[in-house]
Amino acid sequence: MSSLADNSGPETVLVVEDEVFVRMVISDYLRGCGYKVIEAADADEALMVLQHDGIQIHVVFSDVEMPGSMDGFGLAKWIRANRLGIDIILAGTVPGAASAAEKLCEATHLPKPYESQAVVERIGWLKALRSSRFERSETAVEPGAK
Amino acid sequence: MITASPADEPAAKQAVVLVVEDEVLVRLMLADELREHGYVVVEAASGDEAVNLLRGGVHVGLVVTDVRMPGNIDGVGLARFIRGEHPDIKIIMVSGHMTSPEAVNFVDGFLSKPYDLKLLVRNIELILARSSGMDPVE
Repeated sequence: MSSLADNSGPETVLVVEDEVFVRMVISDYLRGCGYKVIEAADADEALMVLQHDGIQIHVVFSDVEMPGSMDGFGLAKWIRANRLGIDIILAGTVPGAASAAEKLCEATHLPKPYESQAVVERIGWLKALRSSRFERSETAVEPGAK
Repeated sequence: MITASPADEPAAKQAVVLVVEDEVLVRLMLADELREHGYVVVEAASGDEAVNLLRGGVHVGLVVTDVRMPGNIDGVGLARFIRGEHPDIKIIMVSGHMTSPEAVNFVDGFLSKPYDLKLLVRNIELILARSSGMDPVE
C-alpha cells in the first residue's frame, strides 16, 4: 500500500483549487518540474491533509475564492497560526496561478515543462470545450430549450 | 488530442486513470499508488467534477469511482453518463455500501470498501490489458 507518510524526495505542494481544470493543469505543471503534488478541492479538504500527521507539506498553493467553510485567506490564516514553516502562495486568477506556478518551477533544478501562457491557454481550451458540450447536451435533452 | 498530461500521449501501459472520490485522503492514497505504478492520474473530488473533465475533452482510459458522493451526480449516475457519452472508457466502481443492481450494467469491475489497493491496481491492469488486447503485466 502506498504510504501517506513518505516524506523523502521532492518538496510537496498542496494545490487547493475548486475549479477542477485549473487544479488539474496547475498540478500537472508542478509535477512536471519535479514537485510531489497533493490536490485539494477546497479549504476543508486542505485542512484534512494539513492535519494528517503522516503528510508533510512544504508549500500551499491556493485559490482565493472557494466554497466551503473558509476561503484562501482563511486557509492562509489557519496555516500561519497552526503550521509555521509552510510557504503560502495565494493566486486569485488563472493567469496569476500560472505565473506563480512558473516561479515555483524556476526554484527547482528541473526545467519548467512549458511557458505559463500555455497553462492559461490549456485551461481556457478545456473550459471552452466543456461549455460547448454542456450546451449541446442541454439542447439534446430539451429540444428548443435555450 | 487533450490528454491528462501536457507531455506526449501516454504509452498504452500508462493509461490515464480518472479517480473520482470525495474523501481527500482516500483519493490521495489511491492516486499515489496508481502514479507509483506508472499511470497518469487525474483526480476528481465529485461526480460533477468528473463530468466536467470528460466534457472538457480530458482523454481517460479508465475511471475508478466511489458510489456515494455529494453533488448532482453520484457514482451510478456518473457510470450511466460515461456509458452513454464515452462507451470506450472502462469503469471500476468502489463502495462501502451495497449499490443498485442497475450499476452492474454500467461497470467493468466492482470492489467493496475497504479494498486492497494492490487488488484494485491488479484489476485496473487486467481490464486495460483486456481492452487493448495486450497481455496483462506480470
